[in-house]
Amino acid sequence: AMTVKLGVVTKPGSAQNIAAEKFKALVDERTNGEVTVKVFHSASLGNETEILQQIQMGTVEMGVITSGVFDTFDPIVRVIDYPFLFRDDAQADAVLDGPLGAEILTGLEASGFKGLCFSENGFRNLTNSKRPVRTAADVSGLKIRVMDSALHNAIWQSMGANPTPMPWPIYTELEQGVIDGQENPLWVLEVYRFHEIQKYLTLTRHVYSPHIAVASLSWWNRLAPEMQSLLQTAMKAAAVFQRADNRARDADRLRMLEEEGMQIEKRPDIASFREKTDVMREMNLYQDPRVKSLLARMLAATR
Amino acid sequence: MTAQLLILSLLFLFVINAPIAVAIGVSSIIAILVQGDVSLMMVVQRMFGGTDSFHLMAVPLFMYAGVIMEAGGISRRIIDFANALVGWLPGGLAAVAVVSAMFFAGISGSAAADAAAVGAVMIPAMKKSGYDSDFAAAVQASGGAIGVVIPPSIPMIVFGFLTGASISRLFAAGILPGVLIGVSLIVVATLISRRRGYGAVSRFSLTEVLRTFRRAFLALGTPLIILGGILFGIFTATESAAVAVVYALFVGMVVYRNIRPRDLFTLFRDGSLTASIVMFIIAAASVFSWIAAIEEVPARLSSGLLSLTDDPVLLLLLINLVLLTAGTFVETTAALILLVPMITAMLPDLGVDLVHLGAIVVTNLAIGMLTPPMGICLIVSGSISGDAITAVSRRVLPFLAILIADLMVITFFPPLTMWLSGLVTK
Amino acid sequence: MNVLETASRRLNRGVEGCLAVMGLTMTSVVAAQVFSRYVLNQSLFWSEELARYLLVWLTFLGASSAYRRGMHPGVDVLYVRMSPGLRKAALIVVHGASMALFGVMIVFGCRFAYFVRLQISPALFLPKWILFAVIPLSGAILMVHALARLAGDVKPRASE
Ligand code: NA
Ligand code: NA
Repeated sequence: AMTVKLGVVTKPGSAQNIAAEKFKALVDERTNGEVTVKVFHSASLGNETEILQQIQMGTVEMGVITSGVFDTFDPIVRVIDYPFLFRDDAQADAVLDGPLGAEILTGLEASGFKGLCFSENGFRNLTNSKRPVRTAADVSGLKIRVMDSALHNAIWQSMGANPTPMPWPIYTELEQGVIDGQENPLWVLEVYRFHEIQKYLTLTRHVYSPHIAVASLSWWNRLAPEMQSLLQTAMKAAAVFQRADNRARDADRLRMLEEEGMQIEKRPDIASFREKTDVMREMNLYQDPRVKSLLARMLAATR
Repeated sequence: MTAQLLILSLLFLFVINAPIAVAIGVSSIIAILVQGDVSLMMVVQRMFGGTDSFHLMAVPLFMYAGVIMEAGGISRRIIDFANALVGWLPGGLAAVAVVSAMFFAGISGSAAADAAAVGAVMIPAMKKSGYDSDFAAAVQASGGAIGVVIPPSIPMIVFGFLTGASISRLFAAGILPGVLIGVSLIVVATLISRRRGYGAVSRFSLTEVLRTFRRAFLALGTPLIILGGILFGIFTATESAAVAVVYALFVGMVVYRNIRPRDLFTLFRDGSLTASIVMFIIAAASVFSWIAAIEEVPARLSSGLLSLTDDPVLLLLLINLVLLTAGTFVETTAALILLVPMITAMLPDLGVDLVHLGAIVVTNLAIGMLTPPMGICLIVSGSISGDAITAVSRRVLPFLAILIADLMVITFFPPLTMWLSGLVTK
Repeated sequence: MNVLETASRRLNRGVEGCLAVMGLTMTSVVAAQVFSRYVLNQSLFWSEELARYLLVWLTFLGASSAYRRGMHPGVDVLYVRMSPGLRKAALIVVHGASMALFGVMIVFGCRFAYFVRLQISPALFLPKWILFAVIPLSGAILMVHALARLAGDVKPRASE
């Protein structure tokens, strides 16, 4: 019998938790209960950076972690968060499940992670309480909460917004108007009930944000090859399940958000946003030769 | 096995009077060593991670605000104003002590600071007017406990940090319970004073109220900044604390001119010192909660309580009992960190809002500050009045009785906490 | 004059200076963010991270000063009822436990700082090992204070 500790920071029902719970069920079924996956949710182990450190140490075996957080461990991951990179779900899947995605996952081994696969947070969309946003000009001056990430800060700065880094959770800050808006995939609006406090939703889909399922490399290398492949395929199946599940529910989410009174801009002027974020390619963030080369190939693959 | 060792070594270290942070840290180290497959580097990661928080920044900031307002000479002005308001009651000075503590509570986040700041003036004043010394200390200790119920409140910040509950809402939830506690303490103090013949100090005079209000006006601006800023959504709790510090510096240095630039060193050093005591406990307790989570201790304890009953009313009473007991023996921050994960694990069975639960928890721990042996307000007041803790604790009993009645109202009458908290919007 | 005691006193004087400066800086940084957001309508990207790390440094350095001043609370309900002999034994166990914690802070603090040597903070691009170094550093200062106190507690004072 073996116990696998898996850490996520979100609460049950969230994207990471759905992938984690599916993985747990599949492993239980495929090993006849020999291997138990224990899911530690709601940040009971620490924040995502800390869970990754625990995985590096081998204290925690696995995690399903937002791609942006890997940035402090390996800057290569930031190519995924390049704005307006992927056209749609199919393209994101094709690239991330293909050789370029594999290159990113393999790259993580240098930091002590066995990268297993990508599940999804999803395409990020902008909400705010101030005004409808259709073009990049409408974003000007909006106080938008961003993750604690230089990249996401740069994205919103280049669009002319007033990005405000703030730790999760942000419900009260939005409600009180300390910030005007936030950007996240649709499931977040539903699970965290942001429709109660945000009036305007724009389907900007500015960044496709995956979660990366990782294991501790030192632990992984001690596993028998059959166990490795069992866990690998189970996690891949869980990811495929979660991505399909998340996408299938987006239509219902949009309907619900509209019924709850949100005003939704479904066809914003993406070209106007793209024009502003094009400068990012030349930014210092992407000047590391490894990062620059991968970004060039990613851009080529998604044109 | 690991879980039992964790708890037992903690209790042992408590018993031999180890500093609380050391007791919590070392018992976690022992548990990690016994558990075997975890590196002790986790101790360092959790200590760092536990204190690396924007929300917890409010802890030192509210300490600075309190220290600076105090040095700026506001206690005297607040007390004069309170005197004009309630000094005419029988046992007027006791009522003044409580009302001053309520106003001071709006500035300070700590009960001990509240009891110390007001008590330094009011306890000698009461003794001089013929009050029994231990009674004076008991009144001030009880008043001090309001310090953590009326916002700002360090225990509420810690509760919000632990549970993700909005600190702004927790603050709003504390206002009416704080007023309830203050009024009920005044009633008890007045009844006792009438029986003992402690007289009134003054007659009521509206002009005196207005005159002292004008003098205290700027001092009373701090609670307005903190509460107004939070209720109307201008700042986060942490930011309101920073603004309160800047305001306090302005009032103390420019308007009242009681603080000179070179005093800043002492003020910020003292504030940092008091804050770091709370923060070091949080650091050590973060290691504890991590290993406890790995060993599923909170879940096991809460299912233990749930196996006794699943009736929400009985459960809430049981939680109050556990918290009061913990508050009697354990320091507030430590009690929060050790118990809150267990209590919130039961939230779905309790049928109460998380913010309401926070108000209940903090009120319990405020009462715990009045019970020996670990009653910080008793210790502070007793040391000002020069009385033994046992003498003061005997005189504190009637106040404890009314506080427990208040606690029941706060627990079972949700509108008292939820009404203002619901107004924290847009 | 005892060498340990002198070291402990001097270290603490430096630390207390840092506490005041860091507290003032932290307040200014948070206040500057509020000012910048409302008056200049431009949020500061670095302020939150800087203030958080100041808080961490302030916590651990402050804990060392508070320890030297004997300000960390304990639960003394049984301790005060112990016989002098028992009390001394308890005191020595407490010193031992404290030094064990400080020792872990030093040894594993250094190892952890080395462990994260390649990571940088997201907003300020500060190397994380420098940020984590506060734990072994404070652990070392705490250890000096603890040794000075132990020497004072175990050895009866010569001149009194
Ligand atoms: Na208060
Ligand atoms: Na107590």
